[in-house]
Formats: sequence, C-alpha cells, structure tokens
Amino acid sequence: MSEHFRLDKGGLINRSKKISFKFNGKKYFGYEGDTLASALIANGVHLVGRSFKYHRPRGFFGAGVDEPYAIVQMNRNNEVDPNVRATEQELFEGLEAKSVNCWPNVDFDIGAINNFLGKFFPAGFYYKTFMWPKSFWYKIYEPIIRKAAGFGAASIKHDKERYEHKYEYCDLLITGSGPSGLASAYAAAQNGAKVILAEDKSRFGGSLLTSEVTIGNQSGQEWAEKIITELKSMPNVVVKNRSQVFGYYDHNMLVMSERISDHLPKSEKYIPKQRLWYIRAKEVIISSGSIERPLVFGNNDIPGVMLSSAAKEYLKIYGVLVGKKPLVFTNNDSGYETAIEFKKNGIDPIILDTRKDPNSEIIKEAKDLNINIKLSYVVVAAKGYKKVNSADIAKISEDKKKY
Amino acid sequence: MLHIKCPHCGLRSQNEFSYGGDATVKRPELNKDVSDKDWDNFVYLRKSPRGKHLELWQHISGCRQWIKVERDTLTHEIFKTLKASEEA
Amino acid sequence: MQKYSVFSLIKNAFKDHKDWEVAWKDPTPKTEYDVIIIGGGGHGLATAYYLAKEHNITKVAIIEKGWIGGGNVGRNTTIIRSNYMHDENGLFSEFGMNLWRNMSQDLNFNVMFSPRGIINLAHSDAQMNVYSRRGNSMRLNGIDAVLLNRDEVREIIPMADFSENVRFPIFGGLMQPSAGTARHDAVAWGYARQADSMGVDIIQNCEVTGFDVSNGKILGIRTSKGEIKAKKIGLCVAGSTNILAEKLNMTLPIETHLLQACVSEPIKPILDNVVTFGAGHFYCSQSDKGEMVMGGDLDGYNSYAQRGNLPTLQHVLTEGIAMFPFLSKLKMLRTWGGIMDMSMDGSPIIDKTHIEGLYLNCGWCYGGFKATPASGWTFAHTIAQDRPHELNAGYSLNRFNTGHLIDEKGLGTKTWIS
Repeated sequence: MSEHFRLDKGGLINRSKKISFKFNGKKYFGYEGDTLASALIANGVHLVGRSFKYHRPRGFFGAGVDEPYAIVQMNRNNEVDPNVRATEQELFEGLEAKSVNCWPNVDFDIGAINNFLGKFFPAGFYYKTFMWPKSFWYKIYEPIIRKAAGFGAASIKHDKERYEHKYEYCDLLITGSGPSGLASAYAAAQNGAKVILAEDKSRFGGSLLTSEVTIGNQSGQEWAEKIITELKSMPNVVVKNRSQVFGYYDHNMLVMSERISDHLPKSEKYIPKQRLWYIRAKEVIISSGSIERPLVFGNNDIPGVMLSSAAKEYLKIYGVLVGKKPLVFTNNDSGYETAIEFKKNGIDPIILDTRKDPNSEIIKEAKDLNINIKLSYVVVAAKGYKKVNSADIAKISEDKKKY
Repeated sequence: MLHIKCPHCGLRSQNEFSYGGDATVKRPELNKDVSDKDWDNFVYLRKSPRGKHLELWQHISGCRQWIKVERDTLTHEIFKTLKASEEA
Repeated sequence: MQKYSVFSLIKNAFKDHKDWEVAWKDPTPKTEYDVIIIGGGGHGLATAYYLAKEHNITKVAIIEKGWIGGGNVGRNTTIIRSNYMHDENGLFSEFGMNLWRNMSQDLNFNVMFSPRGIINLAHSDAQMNVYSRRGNSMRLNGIDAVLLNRDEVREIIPMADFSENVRFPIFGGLMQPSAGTARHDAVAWGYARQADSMGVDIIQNCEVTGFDVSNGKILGIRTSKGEIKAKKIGLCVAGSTNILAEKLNMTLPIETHLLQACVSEPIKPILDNVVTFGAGHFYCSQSDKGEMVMGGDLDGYNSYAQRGNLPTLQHVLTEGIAMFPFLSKLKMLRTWGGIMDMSMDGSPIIDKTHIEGLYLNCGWCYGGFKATPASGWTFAHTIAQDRPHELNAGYSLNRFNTGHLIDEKGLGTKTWIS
C-alpha cells in the first residue's frame, strides 16, 4: 500500500530507511522515526479501534502521551503488550499491532449495536437495572457484562524482559526539553549545577520542532540541536530522551520511566526493556508544556477529528497530512499556525474562529496567504461514521445566545 | 518518599528508617501504683493530630539510633529532627 | 420515589432521559433534628437509612463536609468478606453478608454484589494450619470456608506463580466462596437515595466546627451552615475521627494512617476471584470494567494526606508480582490514597460514649467497606435503643481499658506496623 498522505519532503523522519509493519494483519510501510500512529495516518488509516461502551469508531486524537483513542495490542519479540498507545510507539521493522475491543474486526464490529441502542444505555444505566430476579446479577448479567470488559489481552506468561532500577540525585531536574526546559538546563549547567533533563519523546526540542520560531539567528530546531549537543558534552548534565517523569512524591522525590528497548524489535542481551529512575532533586522545573484542550461539539469523537496541535505535529515532524481538506476550528491563535502549515504544503484549510474580531500578526499572515477564515463561526457537529466527511457549522448570533 | 535528617548521620531517605509512633507518650513511672487509666493512656490512647506531630523514628538501616521528628501529618513537611534524648 | 427498573429505563429513554427525578435533594438544614449523623460516607448513609427503615426515626440529618461518598467508600478496593476467626468479627460480618445479598433489591439500586469468592493464599505448612483453624472457626459460625490444596488453587488461578524454586511457593489457600465484591459508589448512592426518600436530610458542603455539650449531654453541633440542635449525634467519620474527637476533648485508641490502592489499565477478564497474598499484604481482583484492582499495606506513619508515597506502593506491587508475575507488563492507570482509623487491636468501635446522646462509629482499619451495611444497621440500633446490639457489643470503646481486645490479626496494639 502506498503512502498517499505522506508529503514528498519535510519532517524529521529518515526517508532513506523504509520500515515494514503489520496492522490488523495487513502490511504497510513507514520510515525510521515514525510512530505507529504517524505511519498509519500516512497510509490513510484512521480507524484503529472502538470505544469502550458504545463501540464507536476510534481514530487518532493526539500525537503523544495524551492519546485517549488509539490504544492497540502489540506483539514484540513473541510477547504481547496490551494497551499500547499508537501515538507513543515508535515504528520498528516487523512491528505487529492490532485493534482491540472489536469483534469480528475493527471495520465491522458487532458491538457497535450498543451505539444505536445508546439511548437505552445512558451513563450509569447499570445501577438502575439488572436487579430482577435476584440471582441473575451474578449468574447471568454480570458474566455477560464481564465478557465485554477490558481493552487489550494480557499474557499470563512470566515476563522474561529485564527491568532496572536506578537511584539518582541532582540539583535540578527538568521535565521537558522545549524552549524553556533547554534554556533552564543550559543556564543551570553552565553555573555548575548537576542537572537531569528528561524528555518524554524520542526527539528533544518539544514545541521548537513544530513551531516556526527563531532564536538569535537560528531556527528553533537548530538552536535546540546546538544546546542539546552542548548539554550532552557537559559532565554535570544527564540528558535522557524516551524518559517520562510520572510521579512527584514527598520531599522532591520523582520517578521517571526510561523506555530503553520499547522502540526496538527486541531488547539486546543484558540491556533492560525499561529503567525506573528514582530521582531526589533539590529543585524541579516542570517545563512539560501544555496539552491542547478539545472543543465541544456533536460527534467530536469521530476518526479524523483531532487536536489541531496534533495535526501540526504530524505535518512538521512526520511529514504526514492528517487530511487533504482540513477544517480548523479554534478559539485562539494556535489554530492559525496549523492552518498556515497546511497552506504552505499546498493544502487549502478553512478556519472557523469563535471570536468576532480577533487581531494579531498570525491572523494577518493567514489572511495574506488567502486562507478562508470564517469569524464568529462554530462547528455544531461533525458528520461521518468511521471517518469524518463534513461538518455542520453555524454563525454565532450577535447576543451569543444562539447560533 | 520522605527525606529525614538523622541528627547523627545527616539527610537520608525514608526507607532507611522505621517508624515508632507518637513521641510525646510518657510511660508511667516504675515502682509506683499505676491506675488502669494511666496504662490505657500509655498503651492505647493517641491524639493523632492533623498538623504538627512529634514522633519517633529509628534509623534502622543506618546508625540504628532512635530519633525524634517533628512532622506535619497533612503535608508531610518535616520541621525539625532531634536526638531521642533531646526535648522538643 | 421513582422506581428503577428496566421498564423505567426504557420509558425514560423515549423522553431522552429528561424526566429522571433527582436521586437525593439538597435541603437547607433545619434548626433541630432527632438524630444527626456526622459523615456522609457509606457508614453514615447506611446508618441514616436503617434509622428510618428499622426504627422509624426520620427526623435525621447527615452532615457531610465535602460530598457524599467522597471519602473511603469511594476509595476502597470493593472487597466484601466475613472470613474472620473471632466470633465478634465473624458473626458481625456474616450478618452483613446477608444484608449485602439483598442490598440491590432492598435499595432498588444495583450495587452489583458479586460473590465471586476470595482466596487467601498460604505459603507454608504453618500457614495452612492457621488457615484450617480459621476455616473451622468460620464454619462453626455458619460461614462458608473451603481449604484448598495447591492443585485446587492452581485450577482456579493458573496465572499465579506455581513455578519451582519460587521464593513464596503456594501451598494452598483458604477460600470463602460467598465472599466477593460490590460497586462501591453504588452503595453510597443507593443508601443516600433511599434515606432521602424516607425524609433524611443529606446536607453536603457543611463542616462541623464544634459541639454543644452541657452537663455531660450533647445538645447540638456548630457547623459552617449554622448551629443545629439534636437529641442524639452519631459520628461516622472514619479517617477524621481524631479531628472531631479533639473538638470533644476525647482521646481515642486510634491512629490515623494512610492506605493506598491502585488500578491497572483495563484488560480482558483474566481473574474472576479476589486473591490475597499470604507472604505480605497484597490483594487483587479484576473489576467488571477489566481493571486489575490492587491494594496493600499502610504507608506506615501517621498521616492525613489522601495520597500515598512511593516506597509502600512499590513494596506492595513487588508482592503483587511475586504472586501474579504477569502483572509486571501492565500499566498503572491510577493510584490514590485514603486515610484510615487504625484502632489499637485492628477491630472497630461502635458504641456509646461518656457523653449522653453521643455515639461513636470508628476504627475500621482496612475493612470498613465490607462492613457498611452491618455497621449502619448496628449503629442505627445503638443510637435508637441507646444500647449496643449484641452483634456490636464486642466493639465497645472501653475494651482497651478492660482488656477485652478483639485482636483478630494478632498484631497487638501496633496494627499499623504489620
């Protein structure tokens, strides 16, 4: 299958190294530096799972740790790994993954009948029924409900992988290697502080990799590379990618999980799969950036409806278009950045902005690029089932009471 | 994980220590008549305040000395640590 | 009150679920009540319900500082059992089991009581002996108990570690087949809804700031919503008992400690029973959503922080992996903490106090959730009749003074050290 949604150039992937992988038994290709998510989107695959209760089609919503939808079952080195986020899993040769919570398959899922009967299964419906006759709850009803439980399937075999624990002490722990994380790490390290810089993703740079910014006379990405190279050469600095700080306990004790081999087809001998770091830091800077908040409208869970920051990340880092007719719905300037990126790559986006009269440089830039901007407009509902195909939009009335 | 400053060894992690409870409880004096109520107070009854709490810890994987720690039971902040013989 | 059933569900579905009545009201406090229950958790709500249902006392208020069900009834690992050795604990808990069995119908709210069986694993011959003794005691008290050998355990939970040369070999286990789990939040809401329908005022976001006591008699409470008079007041605030006791100038045989629990991401059903590790403090079950629900030891020092610390969580999960090695591949979804009343013998207190009209329900240690109906029922009886029921007579406040401890676990006065 060819990659219809991959741009000819751009992105930070290694186009000289093609990687083949399987999703739901079907063979696809991606590149080194892809995630499972970016490679699937490049191949035009958006339907990757089903929701827990109503079995509604699920696609990709984010591009990283915040992904709520694209949860898949992985096979790696003859071991199963349940509930892996496709947006976090880096692609390796021979990767195999499949959709969960659907039967017989993700495209045709019998469980989706729940979606059409959803009216009868409102939130908490089970508190109100299944009470008669008495013994039926745990003899009939519960076993049926239990069968529907869970996403991935866990193996009951002993886990043969190697895991390590490590204790570390530092003057300053910085979580996130975006502009503020890098600048803080650099400043502290130059003053002799013992610094640990942790980055959740495989690439350092955070938002510098997806934004059009310059620092001094360098692009953000170049600056990030320069700083990281310099930090790596300093003896008082530990720089770690694929390392997620996930707990902040009393008296500045933090825990970090370093994924050492998860991105490889199998762990090398004597090399652990993951390493858990216990870090006692004198000071901590949380420079993890922010996760975009979704806007609320009907059917905003359809595959193809995603965070605009994620669309931008797929474009800038992976050279992948999440769609060829994008509609950007925003209430602030950040949506314009995404739209401009699409425009620069020959795709015509439409921007719907809830604001009546916004004014800023980036909006001017968008106007200069002849991007179709509709002010005071909202998306009422997305349309489509397994993939979004259109949207109902409306203009907000003057008194904002209706649209 | 708490970070406790042992007055003998310096700042160490909580997992070197073992907890010993309320340090303000006084054992009834030896060789004197002790009422049931006094025993009750000593053995069972505890204020267990929310806030400042003077408590005993033993540096069991260190110098093995008992120490006193003044700690907030809501925030886990440690205000000071003392040798067992010192008065708060 | 609107009845919940499959028919009401269908009927309301056609009205787009816009006609459901509120499950409980949000009343302003009256100036006076017959009984005030402080604490809108499982035990407080159950007490109010049984006061109304069994004793016809309906001029009752529940005073809750936060929201109902926000404390330990919403933070536990949902295990229900009566596998105790001592008569006081066994008979009390088995009485509760009967209330659990009928609770969904009684409350017209599906609490999803699921008697899937609980297995305590034994890792030595000595432990098997102890379990057989406990099993026999249980049977004498009319509680079902089955002693399982290694192969029988393996048949039920093949994913446990039965390999050779393992550090904690499984010798067998003690099973209570009728034990199980229930949906914890449904218990709080079910009791609240019924209590409300019988006239109980559920007053949330109302903090008790003090008590009016005169000549050894309780007259009322002071709250953030004003003074409220009451003939009788019951304390059901496990976790915060010492804070209110201080306002009453009482010192109790209780320390406040922190207990953590956690759940994994949902996986396909793999474990149908509740299983406890015998060589440490770890227990595990799988919810109807597929999450592995796990819990274990106290953090080990006095604390009111409703969040845990790392060493204990790690210790507990190490035990978990020793028991079920497959757990090591699962990702943790949530961890959280709750605060416990740790009584000095590990058993609760349901009793009158030296203040006339003031009643105490506290000291539930790790086991408060399963006791919810029995605790509410006996506490309601104690308040209504002004004397304990025979089921809770052993849970007296002065047993520490008289030496009649109920030291089920043999841990003496320092239950939190275990």
